[in-house]
Amino acid sequence: MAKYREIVYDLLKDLKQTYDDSSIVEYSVLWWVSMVANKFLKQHLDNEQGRTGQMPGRFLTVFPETKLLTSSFSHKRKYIQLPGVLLDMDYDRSIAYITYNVQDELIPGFTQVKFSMITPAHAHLLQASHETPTPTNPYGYVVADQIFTLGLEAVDVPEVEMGLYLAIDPRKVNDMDAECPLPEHLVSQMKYEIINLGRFVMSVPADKVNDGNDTIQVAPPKQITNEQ
Amino acid sequence: MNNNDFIPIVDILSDVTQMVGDPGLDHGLSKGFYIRQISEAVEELAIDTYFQTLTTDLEFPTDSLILSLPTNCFNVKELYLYNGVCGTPANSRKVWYKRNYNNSQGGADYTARRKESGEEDPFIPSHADNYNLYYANIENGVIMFGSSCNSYSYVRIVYSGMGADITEVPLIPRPLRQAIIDWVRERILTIFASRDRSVMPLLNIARLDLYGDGRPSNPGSWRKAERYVKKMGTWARDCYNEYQQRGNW
Repeated sequence: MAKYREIVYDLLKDLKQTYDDSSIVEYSVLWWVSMVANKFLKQHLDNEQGRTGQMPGRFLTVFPETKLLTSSFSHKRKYIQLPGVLLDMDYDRSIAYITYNVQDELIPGFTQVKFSMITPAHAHLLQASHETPTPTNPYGYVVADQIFTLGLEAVDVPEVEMGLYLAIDPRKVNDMDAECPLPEHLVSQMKYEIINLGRFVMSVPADKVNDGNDTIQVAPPKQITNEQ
Repeated sequence: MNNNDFIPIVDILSDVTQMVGDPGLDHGLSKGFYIRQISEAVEELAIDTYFQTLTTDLEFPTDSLILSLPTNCFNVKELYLYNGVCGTPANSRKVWYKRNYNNSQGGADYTARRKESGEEDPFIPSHADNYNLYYANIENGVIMFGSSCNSYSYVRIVYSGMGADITEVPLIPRPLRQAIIDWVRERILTIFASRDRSVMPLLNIARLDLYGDGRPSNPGSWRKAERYVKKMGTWARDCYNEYQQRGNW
C-alpha cells in the first residue's frame, strides 16, 4: 500500500507544476485523498463481497481491548465508543465482528461470543426463541459514534475485541508515513480523480470570483426619434 | 427410524450460510434466527413423518387423575400404567382410549357420552360390568385418566416428538440432513428475495431441490426424507413377511 506522504506530495508536486502560484496546502490534498480513498475503499469492499461472499481482512482494523462503558443516561445501557468513523455499509457490515472473551484460553478470543448487529427498531422483536439477547447471544446497534449492547446487562464484561472497517479521517492522520488503506490498483484511479478535483478547484472561472466591481447595468439613454 | 447418527446444528448452519451467500452472518439475520429456522425445519419434518419417538415415565397422579403431556409431544402413541420403580415396570397394563371421557378439572367424577354407571339412557346403555377397564382421554395437552387407573403408581407415555423443546437446539438424524438444509435454505432465500428480486433464480433452484420438479427421478429432498422415515426397515419387513406367511400371529 502507498504511504500518505507519497500520495500527497506526488499530487502536490503535479498540481504545483501546473499552477505554480496556487496556494494548495498539504492538508487540502490529504482531505481530497481521504474523500476519494473512502469512496474507492467502500466500492472495493462491496465488490469483493459481491464476488466472494466475504469481506477481505486486509483493510480490517482490529481493536483488541476496547472498554465497554456504561451510559449515565439512557437507562444505564452498556456501550462502546467507536474509535473512528465507520464506512457506511448496509447491515453494518463495516463492523466485521465484536466479541468478548469468556475465560477459555483454548479458544481464540475473537471466535467466542460474537455480537449480532441489529437496528434499534428491530431490537424490540428479539423475544423469539434462540434470538433473545443473552450473555452468550449478545446484540449491538449503532447510534452515531457509539454501539449500544443488548444481553450484557447482568454480566460484567470489561472489554471487547472489535474488527472494524474504518473510513480515513484526515484529522486523525498523525503520521504521514502511515499507509493509506487502499488497494494498489486503485491508487492511480485516486490520483486521477484528485487531479481532476484540484484542476476544477483551481480553474474556477474568474467571473465567479467577487472582485469588488459594480456589475449593475446602467439603463441606456432614451433614444430621441422624430416620430412625434 | 433405524439410525443413531445425529448431526449437530452447526453443521447445517455452516452449509446453509454458504449456500445463501451469508457466511459472515452480515445480511441482517442473526445466528439465533438461523438456528430457529433449523429448529422449525426439524419440527415440520417431525410432524410430517413422526420420525422422533420418545418415552417418558411419570408418577401417576393419584388424586387428580390428570397429567400434563410432556413438552415436545404432539402425538401419543402408547400409554401404559405400571407398578414397581419409576422407569422399571414390574407389571404393566395398557391404557385404552375412551372417547368423550372428561375429568378435566381432576378427580374421579367425570362426564362421558357412555358411562360405567349412572342413570339409564334410552339410547346409550351403561357398561357397569366393565369395572376393570383402564382408559384415558386427552384434551388441551392433558391426559385424563379413568379412576380404575388409580391402582398403578407410574405412567409410561410413548409419543412422537417435534425435534427438541422449543428453547433447545435439536440434533438432526443423518438421513434427514439434506431435507433440513434445503428447507432452511428456501426460507432464508425467500427473505432475501423479498429484499432483492435478483435472488429469485437462487430461490427457484432451492425450491426445486426441496420439492422436486414433479418427475419421479427428482422427488425433492423433503419427499425423500419422508419416504425414508416411513419406509419399514429391512429387518422389520422380513419379520413381518414371515408372520404374514404363517398366519398364526
